[in-house]
Formats: sequence, C-alpha cells, structure tokens
Amino acid sequence: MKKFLLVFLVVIMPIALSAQTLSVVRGVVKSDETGEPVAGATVRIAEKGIVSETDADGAFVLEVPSTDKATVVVRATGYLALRQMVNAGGDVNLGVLELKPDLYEEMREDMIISLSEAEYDSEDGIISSTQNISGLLTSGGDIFSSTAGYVFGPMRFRVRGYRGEYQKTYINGIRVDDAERGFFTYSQIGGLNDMVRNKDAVMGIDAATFSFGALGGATNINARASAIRKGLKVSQVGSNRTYTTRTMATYATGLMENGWAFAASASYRWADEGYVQGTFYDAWGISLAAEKRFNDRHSLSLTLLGSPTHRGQQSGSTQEAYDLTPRQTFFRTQSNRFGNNYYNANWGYQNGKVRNAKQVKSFTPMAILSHVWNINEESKLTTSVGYKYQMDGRTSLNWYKAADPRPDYYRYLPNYHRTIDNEQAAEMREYMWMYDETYRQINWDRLYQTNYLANERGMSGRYMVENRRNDQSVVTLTSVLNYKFTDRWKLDAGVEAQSTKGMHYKLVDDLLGANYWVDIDQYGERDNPGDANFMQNDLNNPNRKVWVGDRFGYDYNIYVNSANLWATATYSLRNADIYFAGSGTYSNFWREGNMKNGRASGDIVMGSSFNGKVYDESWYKTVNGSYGVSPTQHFATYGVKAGGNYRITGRHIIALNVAHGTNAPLATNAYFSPRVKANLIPDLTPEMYVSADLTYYFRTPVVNGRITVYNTSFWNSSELSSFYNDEYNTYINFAMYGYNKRHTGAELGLEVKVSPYVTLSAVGAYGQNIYTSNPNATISMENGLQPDTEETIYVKGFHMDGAPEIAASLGVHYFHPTYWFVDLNVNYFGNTYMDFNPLRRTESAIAGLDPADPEQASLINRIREQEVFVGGLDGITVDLSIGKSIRINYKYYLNINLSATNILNNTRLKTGGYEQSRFSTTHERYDRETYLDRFPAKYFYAYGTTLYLNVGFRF
Amino acid sequence: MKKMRYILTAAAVVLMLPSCENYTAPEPNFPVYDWEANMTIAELRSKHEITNPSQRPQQVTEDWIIKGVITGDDESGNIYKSLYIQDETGGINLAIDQVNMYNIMPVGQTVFVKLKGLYFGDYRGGYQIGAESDGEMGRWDWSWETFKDPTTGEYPYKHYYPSGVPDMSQVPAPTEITSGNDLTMDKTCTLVTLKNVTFDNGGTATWAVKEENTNQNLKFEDGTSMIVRTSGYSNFYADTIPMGTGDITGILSIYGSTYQLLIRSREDIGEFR
Repeated sequence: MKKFLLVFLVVIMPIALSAQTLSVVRGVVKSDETGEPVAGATVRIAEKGIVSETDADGAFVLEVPSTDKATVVVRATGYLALRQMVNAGGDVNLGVLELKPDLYEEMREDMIISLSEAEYDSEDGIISSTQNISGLLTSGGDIFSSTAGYVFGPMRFRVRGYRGEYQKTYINGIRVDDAERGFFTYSQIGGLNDMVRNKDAVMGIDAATFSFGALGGATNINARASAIRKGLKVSQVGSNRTYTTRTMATYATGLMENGWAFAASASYRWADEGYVQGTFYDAWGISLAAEKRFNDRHSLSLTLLGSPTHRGQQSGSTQEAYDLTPRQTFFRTQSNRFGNNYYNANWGYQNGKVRNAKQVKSFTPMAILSHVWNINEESKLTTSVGYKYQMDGRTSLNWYKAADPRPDYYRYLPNYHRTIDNEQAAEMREYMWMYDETYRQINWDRLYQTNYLANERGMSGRYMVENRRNDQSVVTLTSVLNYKFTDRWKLDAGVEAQSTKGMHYKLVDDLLGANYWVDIDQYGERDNPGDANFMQNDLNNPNRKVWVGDRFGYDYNIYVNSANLWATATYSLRNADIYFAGSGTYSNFWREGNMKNGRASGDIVMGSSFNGKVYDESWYKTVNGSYGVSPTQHFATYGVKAGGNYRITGRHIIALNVAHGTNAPLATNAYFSPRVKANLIPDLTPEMYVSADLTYYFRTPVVNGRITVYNTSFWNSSELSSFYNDEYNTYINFAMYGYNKRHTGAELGLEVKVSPYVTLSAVGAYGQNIYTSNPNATISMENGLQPDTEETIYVKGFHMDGAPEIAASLGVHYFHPTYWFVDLNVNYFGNTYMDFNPLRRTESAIAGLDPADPEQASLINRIREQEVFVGGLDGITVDLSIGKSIRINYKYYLNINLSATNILNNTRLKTGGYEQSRFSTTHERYDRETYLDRFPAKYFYAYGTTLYLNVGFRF
Repeated sequence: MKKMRYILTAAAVVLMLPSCENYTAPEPNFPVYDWEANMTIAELRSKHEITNPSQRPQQVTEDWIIKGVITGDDESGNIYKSLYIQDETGGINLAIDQVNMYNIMPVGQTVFVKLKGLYFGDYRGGYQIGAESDGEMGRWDWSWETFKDPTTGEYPYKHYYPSGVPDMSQVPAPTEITSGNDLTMDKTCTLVTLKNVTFDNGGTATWAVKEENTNQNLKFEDGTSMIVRTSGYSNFYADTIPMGTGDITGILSIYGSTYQLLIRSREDIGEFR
C-alpha cells in the first residue's frame, strides 16, 4: 500500500518537473565465452523504459532518475538476456556484465527456416499463405515469442491466427512482403541465417520504430555488414528433414578502424531425398554486404541477398492412400507394415531415377542500399532503396485428352470402386497400390510412350511438364526518422513508396518426348467444339504450337503501387509510456493481359452491371475482357493506433494496445480469374479492422512472463480460394468477399528459474479465428465451362484453416556453466480446422434436402460441417535438444548441438487439409452422398522424428 | 581478403542458376509381335448366338488369339469406352472401361488379342469382347491389363498386345453400302462407306443435341433409309449436317434390329453436293 501511495504521489507531481536527481549507471558488456566486448547490445532499465546501446568497446552509460531499485536488462543478438538488479540511488558502475551465448537461437532459427521451406503447395493451385513463419522470427523478446517460432512452427502455428498478409517484414528498412499476395516467403532468404540474425521485431500491434506495424507484428532484419558478428564461422549440418546436409560459411570483418565493414555468407543445402519420399533439395544462399561509416554521422551500406532454390514438393493425399502405402523405417527402408502419412503422389521413377513432377525453381535476388544519418546521439534518419527481382517457378504435369497421370487420381484407388459396388476392381487396386510401387507413383515411362505414339500419328503431345512462373520486379524507397525531442517525447515517422510489376505466365518445361504442344484449353474445346475461338488461350495466335521455353496458357502482369506515410509519437512518463500512431496509404493496382483469351475476348470495359444485376457505379466496379490494360483501381486507406504500458511496479507491468484502420484489398483477391480475364470481385471496399490487446507482464528474479488477451475484428474482408477440379481439368476460383471475421484469444508465456541451472517454461496460446458473417462469392471456372455465378457461402462460425488454434508447450531447460545445454519440450496442438470447399456451403448444395428427416439432416450436416483435427493424444509431441560449446586453444569455438523433434514419432498429427472440389449440387440425394464418399478430404501430417545435428566452428 | 575472393567467385558461379536436370528420356518402345492368330473374328462371332433377350456372355478358356486392325477409336468422343477391331473375316467391338483409349490403340493399330480370360457375347445385338457384369455383357476393366505381379514382374491379366506403330494403310478398305438392303449382320462392327446418301435434316440440324445421343435419318439412292447415331459428347456434334448427296464412312453398328452408323470423326464425312 505504501508503495502504491508513493507511486501515486509521484505520478500526480507535475510531469514537467524534469529537474529530478539523475543517477548515472555505466558498465561494459562482454561475451562470457570469448571475453570480447559486445557492441550494439541494448541496455535498458526495465521500469523506466530508458534504453541505450553499447559502443564498440561494449561500454554503455544510462541516466536514470534516482531510485533504489532498478533492473538492468541487457540484450544482444545471439546471446541470452541478462538481468541485474541495481541500486540506482547514486551513480553506479556495474563493471563487466557477461553475456552467455544463446546457442539455441541459431538452432531455433535454422528450424524455423527449414520449416518455412517445407511449405506444402496444395494441388489446388495458389501458393497458399501458410508461408507465414517469418512472423515468428521475433528475436528473443519474451519466452512466448521465442518458443512459438521453433516449437510451434512445425505445426504451422500462426500467431493470433493471422495469415501472412497481416505481418510485415523488412530488410534494412525495405519492405520485402509480396505486394500482390501480402506475405513474405522466407525461403527467399533461406540459408542466410547468419546474415539475417539481427532483428528488431514487435509482436502484434505494439509500436515499432521502423514501421507503423501490422496486426500480426512486424520484423526489421538488420543485414548491414556491421551488424554481422565479426569473425569467420563455418558450420555443417546433418539432418533428415527437408535437406540432409547444409554447409555454411560466413565471414564478417565487423566495423573496422577505417570505417569499413564487410560481410559475406554462402551456404549450400542439399538432399537427394528429404523426410518425404521424392522430395529433393538443392539450394544455395548467397549474401554480400559492405558498409562504410564516413564519420560519426553518416554511414552507407549495400547488402545483396539471394537464395537460388530447386526442390521437389510433397503432396497431400486422402487417408485411404496413406493407409495403403507401406511404412518407411527411420532408415528409409520399406517396412512390411502399412500406413504412411507421408505418401507423396508427386514423384515416380524414370529410367530408375526419382523424378518429381512438382518442383520449385526459385531465385529472388535483392539489393538494398541504406543510408543512416545519425542526427545526434539519440536520433537518426534512415533512408533506403531496395530492388528485388523475383523469379519463382513451380512445375506441374499437364495433359491433353489422355488418362490422368496422377497416381492418386480417385479411380486408381479402391474407394471409388467400392462406391459403385465393384469389389473385384477395388481389391485389385488395393493390392496393386500396396505391393507395386510403380503403381502408386507416377509412371513416367508410360507418359513418354504415349507421346511417342502421338508423334507417330503426327499429333501434338498428350503429356508435358509446365512451369508456372510468378515473377516480380519491385522497387522500394523508404525513409524513417527516429527523433528524440526530449527525454520524454520521441517521434518515429516514415515514408515509403513501392512499385511492383508482377509477371505471371507459364512455360513449357519438358515435352516428355512429344514433338510439340498446342496452346488451347482442352475443356474449352470439349464444351464448345463448334466454336474454335472459345478454346483459345491466345486468340491472336490461335492453335499455336509451342516448344520448351515458350510461354503459353496465360500471360498477364499485375502492377501494384503504394505510397505510405506514418508517424508514431511516444511519450514517456515516470511509470508509463504511451504512444499514438497514424498511417495513411495510397495504393493502386491494375492488370495488363498479354494474351487475348477466347473465353473473355471482348474489349475491356468498365461496367456497372454483373450477371444482369445493376449496381451503383460509385462502389461497384467490374471489368470484362482479357487483353490489354485494365482500369486502375485506387485505394486510400489509413490506420491509427494507441497504447502504452504502465509499470505498476518494476515487476508488474500492464500494456494495452488498440488499433483501427483499413486495408486495401490485395490484387490477388480482387482479380478472381486473372489467368483468363481482368474481371474483379463486385465489392472492392477496403477491409476495416479494430484490434485491442491487453498484456500483463511480471518480472521477478525467479518467475517472469506475460499473459495477453486480444481481439481483432474485421469487416469486409476478401480472400481467393482456388481449387483444381479434375472432372473439368480446370481451376475453379472462389473469390469470397464482403465478410467479417474475428480473432480472439489469449497467450501465456511463463519462465520459472527453479535452480541456478534449471528453468521451467510454460507457453500456451488459445485462439478462435472465425468467420462472423457469410461471404459472398464469385465462382468462376477458368475454362469457361460454366458462366461465372454469384453465391452466398454459408460459413458463418467456421474457423480459419491450416493452423492450430490451441498450442502449448511445457519445457525444462538445463544450462550448465560449462556450456552444456539440454532442453526438453512437451507440446500439445489442437483445433486445427480444415480448408473447406465453398461449393458445399451454398444454398444449392443442400437444396431439396429436408432437415426434418433425420437421415437427410445427417447428410446436410455431413455436407456442411467443417472438419477439425481436435488434438487429443495425437496432438502431443516431445522435442529434445542437447548442445555443447567447446573452447579450443582459447581462440576457436566449437559448437555442437543435436536436436530431435517429435522423439515419440507421432505421425498422426494433422497440420492441415482440404476438401476436394468435386461435388454434385444436383438435387438427387444419392449423388451428393456418393460425391462425399468418392472424394474425401486430403490431409497433411507433421513429420515424425527428425534430427538436426549442427557442428559449427568460430574463429 | 583472400577469403572474400573465394566467396565472390563462388557467388558468381552460383548466380548462373543450376538448371541441369538430366532426366534421360526412355527409348520409344513399340514391340512387334510375330505371333500367329489361331482364331478369326468371324469364327469367334459364330460361337455366340444372338437372341432376344441376349444370352449370357461366355468366358474364353482356351488359348485363342485373334489379330486385327483397329478401325474405330474414341478420339472424337463419338465412340465411348469402346474400340472396333477388324480382320479379313469381320469386325467386333472391344468393350473397355477406359477413356482416351486412342492413345494406346488408335485407328490403324495392329493388335493381337489373347482371348483367354476375356468374355464375349453381344450387347443388344452387337457382338462384343469384354467382361461379364450381372449376367450381361460388360466392359473390361483396363487396369487388369496393367496389373503387374510384384513377385514375378509379369502381367498375368494382359490380353491386348498392340504390335508396332499405327499404320493407316493397314486399315481394311471400307465395304461400300449403296442400299439399306445391303445391311447384313455379318457386316456389323466393320468399316463401311454409305454411298450417295442424303440426310433428311441436311443443312438444318446439327449431328446431335449437346450431351445427348441423337439419331439422324438418311436415305440411300434407292429410297431405303438408315440412321446415323451421334453422341452429344463428340467434338463434332455441333457441326451442321451437310446438305445434298455424298458419301459417309463409319462403323456399322446394330441396336436390337436397327442398323446404325457410328462416324469416327469429321474426316468420315465426305463431300456433299
């Protein structure tokens, strides 16, 4: 009570009383391992929010209003945080503060990176925005953030359920998120762990110094040469995850006497076959950085990064396919037991060699030039310009009037034949699947032989491999001012301009022995055979013959431009910090079609009617046509947020953040069939959000952590769901728009130091991310088989798919002063919802069924319900890591760490799944049930036991 | 700085993207079998009596081999899950439960059929080789053909052996039909050309209604008539029936007691004046 009164009195005192007694706290931060000073470490007084950085000699000076109890917290990249209590009644010299290296940080990051690369690309086309792992790359911060990354990562956990488009990632101040899709693909900087280790990150809507921020947090990677740890580091990894070996070498000079700093890093990741059969890996990571400090005020840096990657992808399949596939032993030999949740339908043998039909060939070199002007000790202006050129290709089989080459096509599995009561056919296929590997994998030889036969008859090829390219050329310019007006007032403000040209087309990758391929849409041909134009993909070049390297099928560009201005003002009180932030953005996008598609051959016009309905011109825009430049769509959006933290005592802090704003629709979600035409969803009103989070932090020498509750509501959101329908051999796009959603939940992070060497941790997240209204959807078939329609999708109450809503981890961490580390984590994941087929949630899907009849009611339920992986015992995994750091000859350091994920080999943990798009909406009851029986959902499972052994040398 | 040079060189080398995918293409494999047929199609047909209702299909239990050339395939979509094969003695329908069979056995392909294990009979008066389904003629599940015994590596249920590459010169010349009276049972399942016929709906209708099987009536020079049956799933169903008189080629088929012509593709329609 006495303390509260004291605090209360202090707060009441006019805050303008700046003439308080100040104590000077100084010290030197050094590495416990090497004895070298640690430059650039942040030193803060926890209760006061006073922050400083150590200089090149590791020294720091802080001025603190005199108090008898203060906690000094020292943080630096690659080290464990250090907390020390001080009595700041008078001037204090803390002497040398020694930081212990965080060997786990590297291992955790490697894990996150390799997980982000185990992206699955569901058959249904679009690169899904499950590539959001970069949002978990927060640097330490608190036990929740650091655990969420590498422990929850394998399960594709999303912080607060936000998809990748709600996070922002920057490198040296330049935003690297994809402007069309909204999210950053971390694999673009894969294998560059050492260059991207230094990060400034905020979780959630907390204020950031480098950006207005985003709902899901923001990360600014400092990849300047001076930020890379000095010295030469070489490491070798052996693993059985996505790659089996990784060699990495990084050399950095650190900031030298002459003001220059250089850094270079290169790595090579390789696997003949990863954890999943048929997935090979062949990727480089290259980075070069140079920096020159002209004087105390100005420095200029140039960083180049790129990760050319070539790898084979895994597929999702039905449970039936998994159950019938023989298991693989840990040593990759075939077991005589069945049930393999990692069956991969994408590969087959060709001349005895494994060949994967779905490969990623990707390279996104980036160059960032950044200038820092240190206006004074506490203020700076950072101006950066960045250029990025993305070359991303994904291969896939394509076929024309030929038998489906995919081994898990529904007719090749027994289930379909059971639905038509043909037990004999079912048994034959079951036997073939179980015992003949060439039956359950792609038969490349057959594809070639079919093409050779077509050659004999002078016909075009029946099978080929195409490469779907998504390229981008991006220029970004930013300038960020961090200005400290007084001890109390601080301003962070910035301006950003970005211009993106997205190029989308596909190339003939391999003709598989055929003489040529003809560029037409085969189902367009079948449906309108009399109309030679309908089937054309390029009316200006009808029936064009194409060969390897030619563009065909579709060819369009999406241009996205944006200009943004933001500012955050932070005011520090004695026991509180409060901030206000605002942001305004102007953005636009348009499509440019380079091919005149036969299914949208009219001139591009703006219209105000769609499917016969007339809309008010002011808010409704639509476009028809495919060739040429489409009208530009403009958006003006804003964001405001406010918040702060209040230090009840030095040990108990409450923080609150509230935010409100609008987000322009993503170009990806707005053009619902961009490969064919420039048509837009009828409603392009920007999405609006309101978000709030409340956190309670507690920090005592023994226990520290936080509890957070949050809620974010969205109005008028949009998303594009694209499903491949193998009945019509086309993509069906469901552009859902005009719906509301809500993310609510709580997070807990707790660390208890039970003994000098042992810490216990408990981390948990519980969320509910739901659609709170029914979206409208524009349903469009790319081959034009049916005209576009508008339907309401009844999914109110459904959950966002693909990430566990419940994630928890209990950990025991042992750290011995002789640099032994042992970590044990017991984890739980549950409530992962499956992606749904919008067609099954339309009115017509259940039309004619009578809910009063119990049998029909149960069919309605089966059609409508969203599948969920609840968790239970199958949601438990255990991870174990051991590490040791050895000093050799007082100069060299050897770090060894071995980590085993999922040591109980739980192979029944679903990380996601999707419903097949084939569904009959005829009124006949038998048809619908049969469709559900014939086309069950496809699933993805988390890997079983995987090992990761990292041996690193530091010189 | 030497280290830097190494790293820079490595970087330069790498930036020339690795795109070497040395997947060697397999060799074209069109085996030619030098077998002899020990059964003719006419002889096979004679072993099954056409009655109404149809008799049960019989399973072949002896090592009979027929040899013929494919005269009708499913490329246009007019013929569905069927192929027509013909030798010097006659023709027969191969009922196969598989689509896009033209990729394996197109018109002009010489095929040996090892009959042992297959069923033969008739479907509504049309002779077929296929499977048995509930006492009636059914389609042969093509997956049996590709069934490989994992232990022996052999194909125990393979019956169809395409031999060599398709050769249009091997297709038997179509029998000329000039009158409805020329239509006889022994000509069913063979390739015929109807000479100088006129369509009732010439110039006014399309071959078929979309996704529906449609019959079109034609008249021979002597006034006798016949129908041409076209599937609404074929790729020419929306073409207009030609006006005037001309020749038309196709497979002669029968349904019950009605003869019908199945065109294989647009190329079967001759010049009409």
